Amino acid sequence: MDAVNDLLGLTADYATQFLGSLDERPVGTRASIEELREALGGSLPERGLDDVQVIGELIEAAEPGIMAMPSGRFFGFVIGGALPAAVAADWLTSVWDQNAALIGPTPSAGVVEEVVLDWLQELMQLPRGISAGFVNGCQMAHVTALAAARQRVLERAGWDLLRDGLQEAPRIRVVVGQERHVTIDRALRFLGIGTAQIESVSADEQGRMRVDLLPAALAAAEGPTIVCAQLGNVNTGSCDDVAAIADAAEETGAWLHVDGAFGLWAAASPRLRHLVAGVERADSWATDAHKWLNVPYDSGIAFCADREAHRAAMSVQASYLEQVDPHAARDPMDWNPEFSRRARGFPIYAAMRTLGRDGVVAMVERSCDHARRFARLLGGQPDVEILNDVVLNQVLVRFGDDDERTRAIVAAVQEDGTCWLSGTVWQGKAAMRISVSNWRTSEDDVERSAAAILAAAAATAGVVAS
Amino acid sequence: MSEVPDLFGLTADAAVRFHATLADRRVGPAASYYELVESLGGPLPDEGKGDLDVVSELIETAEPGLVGSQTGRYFGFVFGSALPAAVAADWLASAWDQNAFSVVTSPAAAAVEEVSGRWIAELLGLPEGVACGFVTGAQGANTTGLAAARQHVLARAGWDVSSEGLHGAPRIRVLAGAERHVTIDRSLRLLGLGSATLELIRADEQGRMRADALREALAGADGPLIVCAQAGNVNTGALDPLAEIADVCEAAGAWLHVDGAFGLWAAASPRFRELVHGSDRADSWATDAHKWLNVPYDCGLVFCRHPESHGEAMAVAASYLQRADGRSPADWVPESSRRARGFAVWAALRSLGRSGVAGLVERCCDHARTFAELLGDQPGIEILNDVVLNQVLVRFGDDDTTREVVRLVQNDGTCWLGGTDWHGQAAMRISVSSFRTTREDVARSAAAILEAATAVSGTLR
Repeated sequence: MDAVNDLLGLTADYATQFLGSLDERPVGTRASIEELREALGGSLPERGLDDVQVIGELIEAAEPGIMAMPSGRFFGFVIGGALPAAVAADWLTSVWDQNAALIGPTPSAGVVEEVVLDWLQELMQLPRGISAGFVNGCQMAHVTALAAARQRVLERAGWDLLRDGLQEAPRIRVVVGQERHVTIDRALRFLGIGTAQIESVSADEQGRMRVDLLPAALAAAEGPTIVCAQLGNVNTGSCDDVAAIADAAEETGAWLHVDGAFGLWAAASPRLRHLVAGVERADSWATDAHKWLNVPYDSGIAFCADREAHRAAMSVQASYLEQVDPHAARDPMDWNPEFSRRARGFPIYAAMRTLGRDGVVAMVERSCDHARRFARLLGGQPDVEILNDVVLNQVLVRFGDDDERTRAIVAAVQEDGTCWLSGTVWQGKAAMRISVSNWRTSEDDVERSAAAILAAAAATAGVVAS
Repeated sequence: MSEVPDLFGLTADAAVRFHATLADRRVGPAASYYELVESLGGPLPDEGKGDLDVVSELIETAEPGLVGSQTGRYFGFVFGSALPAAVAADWLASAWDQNAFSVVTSPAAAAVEEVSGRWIAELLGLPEGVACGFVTGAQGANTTGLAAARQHVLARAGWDVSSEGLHGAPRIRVLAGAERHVTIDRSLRLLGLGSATLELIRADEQGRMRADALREALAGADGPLIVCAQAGNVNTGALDPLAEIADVCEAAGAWLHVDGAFGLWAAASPRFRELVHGSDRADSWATDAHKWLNVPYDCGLVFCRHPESHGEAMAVAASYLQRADGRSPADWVPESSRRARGFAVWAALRSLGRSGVAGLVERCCDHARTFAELLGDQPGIEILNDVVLNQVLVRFGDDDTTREVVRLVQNDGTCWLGGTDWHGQAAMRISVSSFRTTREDVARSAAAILEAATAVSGTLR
């Protein structure tokens, strides 16, 4: 046991030191993919190595290629950090190594999911009695929820999907906003629904689905229909008018799915709740816990108001899977596209317990305040334009109304290492994309990062002009 | 931040203490479902709580409801355990909190997947140049492999399923053995192929697909064809005759997918490699790392001989996703944002080495045989399967007695195992897949099983 003691002690010490270094370490990576291949690769050795040596080598070889995503100055994509209590619970998850497929053999893993399902439903003010699948991210949450949708809309059309499949089924239409996230398309492809079946409704200048166009789009054809709304455009953070979309969907009997990877968390905040008004009227919702709830990767959740369709789309039976007390207890695998899987409930439980409702709300609101501060600090400068209405946690910044200059500044900021963010193209224009979703980000982090961005802009002005 | 050293120290201490209990702890959960609902539940609190309190409380309340799958005496399902080096590397994955989406989001996570994916392909004897995706488990791997198959066989029939969808597509025939794992049915359902699509091929008494029956079923077939073979039946451990199946598939132009959740690991051992003979001729393969490689949950791998079809079925593109050279991890899996699963796999392989992986596989199979000897020699006890791998099916006279013995063993706590039905007969199911299992664990567990059997025959007769 001394060996395990040393190994886990060493790993805990290192993790403490790594997180302690975040304030000063460069946020971006230092090693190229080639260097990392070289350091980590080679042929598989014949003989094994001592555990302590393995972990020492892994740290040494991998660390230069580690993006400091847990840093308060990481603003790339929408990543989120990891609350220390959630990291610790995730460590226990690895140590306990429970397979959370069935509640009978691993009751703690199963019960913790039941508990956090209730907590999340209450926090987001979603309808009572919804079902949930704890998946590994919003992508699979879409797959899960849209599989339930596919099941229900075909059943209403008199088709037995489980038996007869999609090939000769009535054609499904999926109506989406033009600025939906790419994971929707990917989930549909996975489910056997092609891009030709996706009908895209124009979006406004903030990326919101034009709800004035939706009724006509829905009326243009008949048949089983799924509508996908979005809370939190990945570039602007804007939220679709879900109430108006729900009106149109109800009118035609379409299934309404909400992609709320990060935007759904606005539902927890009294201040931001208006952005998602009507959200409780949807049939299914997909979100991430590894983003705004700040649990370690990976963790997402699919919620469904139609428990029967959800279960029918996912559950399986086999003789060796003895299900204990199926009436009372919830077997996790009945609600997921996965079978054997990690006990994802533990870190969610720890995150919600350490924050409480007030803490979740404060974390979401703080991120939005930081985004607005960024917009003020940068937008107040000559030649700098904020392209979006900063309603949530996303800021799009453009320099000198110039694609090349904007891209050069993004590259210079990444290189500088004070913070990390990436570029995007918004309505044909290159932009810097700032996303705030880490519990750790402080006002000071925002100010340091804004200063680094402005310094890069000043430096680049001369270079690009010449 | 001042709390973090204490918090991580407390967690590491708890982990070490937990490891120290493994030799003697009760293997089944000690607390009931209802007790856990009581201790873990309650309304969402408004106010937060200190990290140390949260984690201590979680340990205190959850621990009684844990199953001892980390002990050497857990023989339920096919679970595997977790090697200490893999646990430590998984801790790093949590602390580093990398999103292993692409080379840009985390070059280290991308590189470690490339390296360890190649090592596993080599261990499993797969062809050079196969594409590889790290998923949550064999379920996801089967779905991914079959999505690549769907893409490929329909493209050959002139149909682009990515753009057109399955609606109106040429009919796909999917053939699998009668004793395939249920994950195959579930993957097909997710992909939009109904249960009526699946044609079942007769299996022999060990659960192996009959290659001659497959040949008959495919005689004169044309059009899109997918065959799902199995390496490692979940009850008997038997492997389908992969070489003969590959012959049939090649002749018919069928895509061959191999579900090798645990059985594919036989390829890592010179002693057992013969069992998977011909598996290198398949088009796609699904396996688990969280089972026989003993990395923590969850981690599975999918491999594919046709990187174009695999990529077309999975890859993703969007304007805000900056790209770089190299293999983008998310292009080979159904997930987008995801955990850096490669670190734990790398550490497991590095700590075992090639010989260590072979040793782990062989030791588990030897233990299974020891179980069969210790139990099968007793009067009134029958071993229902040929113990070729790590699985043993045990029957105690009749259905009722067998089920009662399983229940008693679960309650006793010395070891844990489950029951099953094999060809209409109730059986006890023993699966050995932990690096921690010793001969002593097997002897103790066999003794506990025999004691339960004696107790039951006493009460029933």
